[in-house]
Amino acid sequence: MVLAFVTLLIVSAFIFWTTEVLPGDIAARVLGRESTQEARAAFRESRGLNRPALERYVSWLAGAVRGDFGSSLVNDRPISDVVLPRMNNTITLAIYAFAIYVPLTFLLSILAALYHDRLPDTIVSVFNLIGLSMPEFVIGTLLIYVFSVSLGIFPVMAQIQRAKTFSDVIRNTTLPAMTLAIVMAVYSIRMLRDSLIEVLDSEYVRMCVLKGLPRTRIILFHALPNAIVPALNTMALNLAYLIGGVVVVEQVFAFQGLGTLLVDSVAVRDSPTIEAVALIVSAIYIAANLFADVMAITLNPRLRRG
Amino acid sequence: MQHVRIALRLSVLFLLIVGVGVISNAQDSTGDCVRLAGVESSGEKLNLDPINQPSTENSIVVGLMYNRLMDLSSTFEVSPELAESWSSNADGSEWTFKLRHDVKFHDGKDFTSKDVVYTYKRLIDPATGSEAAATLAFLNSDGITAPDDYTVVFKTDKPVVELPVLITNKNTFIVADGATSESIATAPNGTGPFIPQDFSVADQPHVFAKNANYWEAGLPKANCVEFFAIQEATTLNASLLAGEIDIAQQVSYATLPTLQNNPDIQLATAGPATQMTMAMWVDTPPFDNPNVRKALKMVIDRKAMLDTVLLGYGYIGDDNPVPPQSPYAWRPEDQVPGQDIEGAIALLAEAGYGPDNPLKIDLYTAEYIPGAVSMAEVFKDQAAEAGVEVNLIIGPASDHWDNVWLKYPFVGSGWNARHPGEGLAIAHRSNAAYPETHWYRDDFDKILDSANTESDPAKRLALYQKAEQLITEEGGSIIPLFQQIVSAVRSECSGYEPRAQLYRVDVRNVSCNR
Repeated sequence: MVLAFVTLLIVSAFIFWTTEVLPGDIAARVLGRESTQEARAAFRESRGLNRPALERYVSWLAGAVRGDFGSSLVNDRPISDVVLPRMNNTITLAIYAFAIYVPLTFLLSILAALYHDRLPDTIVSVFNLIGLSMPEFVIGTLLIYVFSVSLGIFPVMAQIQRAKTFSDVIRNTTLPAMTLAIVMAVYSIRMLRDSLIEVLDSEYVRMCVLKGLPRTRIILFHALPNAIVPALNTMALNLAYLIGGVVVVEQVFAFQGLGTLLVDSVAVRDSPTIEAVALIVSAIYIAANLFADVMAITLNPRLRRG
Repeated sequence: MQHVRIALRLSVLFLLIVGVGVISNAQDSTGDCVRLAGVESSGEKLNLDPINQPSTENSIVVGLMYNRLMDLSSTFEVSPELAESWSSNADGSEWTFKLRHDVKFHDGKDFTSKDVVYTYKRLIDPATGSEAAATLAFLNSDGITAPDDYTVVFKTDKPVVELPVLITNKNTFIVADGATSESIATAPNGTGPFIPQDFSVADQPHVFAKNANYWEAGLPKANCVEFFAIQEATTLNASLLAGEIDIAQQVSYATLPTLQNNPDIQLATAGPATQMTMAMWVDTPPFDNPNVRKALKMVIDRKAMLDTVLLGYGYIGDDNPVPPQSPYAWRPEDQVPGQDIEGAIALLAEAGYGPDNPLKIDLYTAEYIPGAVSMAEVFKDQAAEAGVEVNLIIGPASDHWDNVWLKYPFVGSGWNARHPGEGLAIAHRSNAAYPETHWYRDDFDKILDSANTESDPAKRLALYQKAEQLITEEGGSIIPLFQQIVSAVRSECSGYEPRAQLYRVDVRNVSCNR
C-alpha cells in the first residue's frame, strides 16, 4: 500500500514536470491565436500561472492530499465537475466491454484448446490473427458499417447522456464495447489457449482423465486455474487500458470519455486535469495489478510465502 | 462434454434475448428536432459566452441562442438583424444604429440600446480578454453611447467607413446588460431563435428548444435543435448515412465520394471560404529576392492543385487575400495566369539559381486545416518541375499555430473568409498582429488608410484593388486556393444554406419531415 502511494506521488511529480517542459503556452492555447498579449497576460495572472512551478506543484499536492484537485485551467471549473461525468461514462463502457471480453476470451480459448489443431481451433486462430492485425479504429469502423449503416441495429454515436433507460445505455454503447472487447480478446485468447494446451498435456490432467472425471470438471476446476495465471495479468493491464487509453475508440464513436479528455487537456497543457486523469488511471492500474496478484495467489498455492 | 454444450446453448439463448430486447428498443424519440453536427470540438473550452470562440463548436452553439446587430452574407454584404437601419455622418467617424423595438430576451427582458452598449464595451475591455479586441481596436469605450432606448451611436477618433462590417465580427453577439462569463454559465440569456436546455460542457448532444417568442415571424421552423461535435470524418459520414444526424456543417473532402451519389443526402456548397496560404518572409533570403517570390507563384498549376487537394470543391486564388471570384477582386478568375515553368526558370536564373545551383527551401506545415499537407505536397511536385527543391517539414497540427507559424520564413497558413477591409489588413499592415510575410510597406499602409477613410464606395473599391494588386505582384503570400464549405443534408430536411464563414450556421429556416 505504501508502495502504491509512493508510485502515485512519483507519477504526479513526473506529469507536472512534463507539462512544464512541453513547449506551448496555455494562455495562447485557451484564448486562441488571435488573442492579444494583454489578454494572455491577464489569463496567466487569473490562473496563478506566474508563480514558480515548484510552488504551484506543492500547493496542488497539498490540496490533492485533502481531496481537492484544484480547478481546470481552461474554464476554472472544479476538477471533479470536469472529470466525474467523463469518468462515469468511461466506467460504464469499461464494465460493459469487460463483460463481453471475459466470457468471449474463456469460451473461445477453451474451444480452441479442446479442439486443438482441429477445425474450431483453426477458425478461432484465423479470426484471432485477423483481429490482431487490424487497428482498433478499423474494427470500430467495420462494426459501424455492418451494424449501423447496413443493418441499422445500433447507433453510430455512443451517446450515453441521452440514454434514459438501462436498455438505451446498453444499446448505445454496444458497438464501442464490442470493439474494445475484440481488441482485448485477441491477445488474451492466444495466451490462454496456449497455456491451456500446455496444461491439458500435463501429467496431472492425464491423471484426472484416467480417474474418469468428467471433461467439463477437468477443464473448469483442474486445468483452467493453472492456465489462467499468465492471462490474469493481461486482463489487469487491459482494465487500465479501458480507463485511460481508449481515445481512438472514443473518437470513432464520438464518445465523451476520459481518454478524449486527457488528450484535449494535454493539447492545451491543462495540468490539473491531466494530473487528475492520470492519477485515476494509475490508481486503477495499481489496483488491477494488485487484484491480479491476489487472484494468482488464490489460484496457485505455490505463490504463497510464509 | 454435455455440460459444455448446455452452457453454450444457454449463452446463445441469453445473447438472443438481449439482442431482441435491444433491437425492439431501437426507435429513438428525437421528435422533430433538427440534428446538426459540426466537425470541431472545443473540449473543455466550450461555453456559451460569445466573447471567445476557440472552435466552430462554440460559434455554432452560441449562434443558435444570440443575435447580432447585423448579419453578413457569404460575400460580406451587411443585412439588418437586431439593428433596423444605420447611417453615418459625412466622413464616417460617427455611426448611428436604430434598433428593433419588438425584441425580448429569453428571460422576458426587453432588448434595448443598453444591452448593445454593454456588449461592445465588454468586448473591448482588456479585463475580459476577448479575442475580438484586436479587430475592434478602432472603438473606444467613451465613444459608444445610447441617446435613447433604441438608438446606439459609435463615435471613432478616425473615420471608419466599413464600421458596419467590422462590428459584425463573429464575437459580437448581443448579451444582456450586466452579463458576465459567470452569469452566462449559470443563466444563459440571449435573443436568438433557440434556448439552451440544461447546457453542460460534456453533453453530447447539446439540446436547444425553440424560442416561442422569437421576433422573426414564423421562425424558427424547427421545434428544437440537437448539436453534435463529431471529429472523425468516417463517423460523421456513417451517422449521416444511418440517419442519426440531419445536417453536417462540413464534410471532409476525402469522404465526399461516399455521399455524392446517395439519394438520401444532398450536398450544398458555399464559398470562396477558407483561404489556403503558404507565407514567405519577404525580408529573409532567398525570399527577399522578388524574382524568387514571383517564380514560386508561377510554378503552380492552380487548376490541377484544386482538383487534387480539394477534389474540385474550391476556387483558385490570386496570391492575395481577396478571392478573384469576389466582387472586390482586382482581376477576375480568368485573368489569373496559369502555370509557367519556363518563365519561372528564367526568373530563377536571374536570381542566380539553375541546374548546378538549385533553389532549396524548407516549407513548414501541418494538417491545420483540411488539405493543408496535400497542398504542400502538390506544391513540392510542381516546384520540382522548375528545378526547385522543396523540403517539407510536417509537424503536428496542434502545435502549428503556436510554435511554427510566424516562427519560420516559409510556413503553411490559412485564414477564414473576411471582408477585404479586414482581410487585407490582418496579416499585411505594418502594425498587423500576425505579420506572416514580414510585409512592412508604407505605400501599402497608405492605400489601406485612404480606403478606410474613403466614403465613396467606388473609389474605395479602386483602393482595395490597388492594395490587392500590390500583394499579388510583390507580396510574400502564395495563395493558390480557396476552399468551399461542403455541407451534407439529409433529404428529409430542407431550408439549410451553408455560409462561407465557417463560424456561421443558420438553421432558422430548417425543418425536417420524418
